[in-house]
Amino acid sequence: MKRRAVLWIALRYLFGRGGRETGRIISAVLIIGLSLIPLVVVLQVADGMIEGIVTRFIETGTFHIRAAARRSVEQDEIADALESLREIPGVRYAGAELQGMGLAHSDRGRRGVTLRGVPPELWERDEGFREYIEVRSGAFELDDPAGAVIGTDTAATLGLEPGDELRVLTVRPSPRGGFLPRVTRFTVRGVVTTGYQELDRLWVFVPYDRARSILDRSAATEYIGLKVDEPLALENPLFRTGHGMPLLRDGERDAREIPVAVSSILGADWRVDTWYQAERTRYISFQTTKNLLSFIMLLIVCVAAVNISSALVLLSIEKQHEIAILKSVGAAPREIAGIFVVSGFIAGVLGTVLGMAAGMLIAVNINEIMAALERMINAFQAGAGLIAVPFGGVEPAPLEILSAEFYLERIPIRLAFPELFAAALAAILIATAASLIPARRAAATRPLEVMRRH
Amino acid sequence: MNDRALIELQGVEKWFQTGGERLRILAGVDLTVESGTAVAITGESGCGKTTLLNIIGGLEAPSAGTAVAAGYRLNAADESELTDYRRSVVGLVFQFHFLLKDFTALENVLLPAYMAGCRREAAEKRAAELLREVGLGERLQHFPHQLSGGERQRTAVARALVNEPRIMLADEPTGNLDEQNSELVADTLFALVRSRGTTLLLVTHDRGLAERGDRLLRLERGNLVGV
Ligand SMILES: Nc1ncnc2c1ncn2[C@@H]1O[C@H](COP(=O)(O)OP(=O)(O)OP(=O)(O)O)[C@@H](O)[C@H]1O
Ligand SMILES: [Mg+2]
Repeated sequence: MKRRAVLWIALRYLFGRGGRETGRIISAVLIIGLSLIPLVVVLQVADGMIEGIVTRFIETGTFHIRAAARRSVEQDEIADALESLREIPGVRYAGAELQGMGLAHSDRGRRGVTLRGVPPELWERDEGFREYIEVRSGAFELDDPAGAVIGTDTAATLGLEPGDELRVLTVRPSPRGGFLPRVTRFTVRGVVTTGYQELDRLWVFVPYDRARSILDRSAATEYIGLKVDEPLALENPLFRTGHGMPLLRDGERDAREIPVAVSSILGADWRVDTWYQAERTRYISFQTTKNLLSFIMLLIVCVAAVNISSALVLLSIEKQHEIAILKSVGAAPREIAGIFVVSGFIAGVLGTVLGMAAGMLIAVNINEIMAALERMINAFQAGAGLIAVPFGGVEPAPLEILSAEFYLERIPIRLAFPELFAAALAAILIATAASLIPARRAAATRPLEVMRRH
Repeated sequence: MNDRALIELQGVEKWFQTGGERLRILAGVDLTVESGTAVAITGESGCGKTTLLNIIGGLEAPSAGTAVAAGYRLNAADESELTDYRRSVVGLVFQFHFLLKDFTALENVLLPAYMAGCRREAAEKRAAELLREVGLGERLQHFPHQLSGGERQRTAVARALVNEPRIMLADEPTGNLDEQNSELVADTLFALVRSRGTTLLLVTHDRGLAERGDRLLRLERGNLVGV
């Protein structure tokens, strides 16, 4: 019953009769709630971003499993290998790719590009590729040997649209030493984007056979890319348990056999990497950034918890007299301290519930919120421009809060429940810890000194 | 030492340090109270009556001497023993009621019972019963500010008795009340104490009230003398 009495008193003190104390506690609760919002938003948005970006790299760039040739390989050898790779259970797609550098130019300008020689049927066969490549104009069409598909950034830099001519300069070593330049003409068939320009800014897709004929094989890399049914099961630290034992479903266990099978088919001439091996540094660097951000956000919660602490200190001062009475009728210091710790805990729980709800609401609508903010700022800027330009001012460039150049155009949201749970727990703990100071203070109240003052 | 003695003070001294001066209030008080008796203590204002009660109530430590009550050595007890003593052995009624303003009369009486680890139903039954006995059966759900001074004081009496203390300490329980209310509170107090066989130490200026006790003592120059 003691514990119940403690809870009872705490509740009465927190929400008693709507006095000043209650107002202070409620504002402390609101502040804890507010302070949690950035953390909650970061946790969800960051995961969505990381997953979105990494998935784009994998689905459109590095494949689930990618083999790189260590020496130049004959075409029929590759064809045979592909044939066998497609037989492996769980493999959805296997295709060759030849990558090399070139200098693309048009009447408007030029830029160094990455030529990706891919089989024309890539678009047809690889569902994942199709899902993450957005065709902005034209089509992803490489059936014509002179066709090319370029990224939006290259299209903008070179001023190209579908139907325009794109000239690509490649070099190969001449038999007499030095390099021989070679210009190949392509017709732009499509302009595409992955939604993450950092990834696709240099891409020029050309038909595989064409790439083989124009790229110097000593400077280009021959790849074989595979897509599988369960890419996450291939290699992902998140899927391991504490003992390093993978927790996998049946299909996923099969997936782990695939890289081994691929290696044995391709032999020593190829180096086989899973997506995780290929993108690990990127993945880890994103995760580190996210962890650092989360930590900083958690500090905000700590700062907010000071409010709980001070609200409870004030409460303990206001209730000093009553605490003295409680002590004189037999309440132990622990129970008095308990009243304040429980108060801090309750305030923490309420603040956390509020913060979580608000944070999730914001995170789920983050794209709309960003867009609305951008519109507002730009409308304001445009207004300012109208006034400034006649006086010789410069019209401001429209602002993009999350530039698509470096971020995804649309942030995919994923509710990260374990992490949100950890954040909630941390917030509640912090709030409870913040109540320790007032709790100790109140517990040390000497009943007589206080009562004598009455 | 008397076998039936519930409270035994020997040479209890109390002094307060104010500035460089030592203010000596109790100068070696000897007092033996047998279980079930009612002792009234009078004395001039400022002579140390409240101080003496506080020492017996475990709220203040004596500066010298020994004070034993119900087996607790109050002059040498630590905080947890004192807490235990306060919640299980003594009931306190002060001149001012000292009820918690956020709690109803019933809840105020219940709190010490809960603090003593009493079960809810038992505690509620006992608290309601006590409030009925002090004549507040109809006012269980009223908050202190909804009660009169006398009613508050009777609530305080009920609260002091809820854990069935062996010792009841009352410091001018009627000091703030008019004659009629004083009478009522005093009647209530004595009726309850007598019916339970509780030992009572009562400090009062009221001659009439003091005479209801079994023994009447007077605190003079730091010592207790019989009247
Ligand atoms: N903590 C303290 N520090 C200094 N002096 C104190 C302290 N407590 C009590 N005194 C002094 O001790 C003396 C006795 O106080 P006490 O309250 O016991 O008197 P009392 O007999 O109850 O008086 P009254 O009848 O007016 O209530 C007073 O002079 C008071 O000022
Ligand atoms: Mg007094």
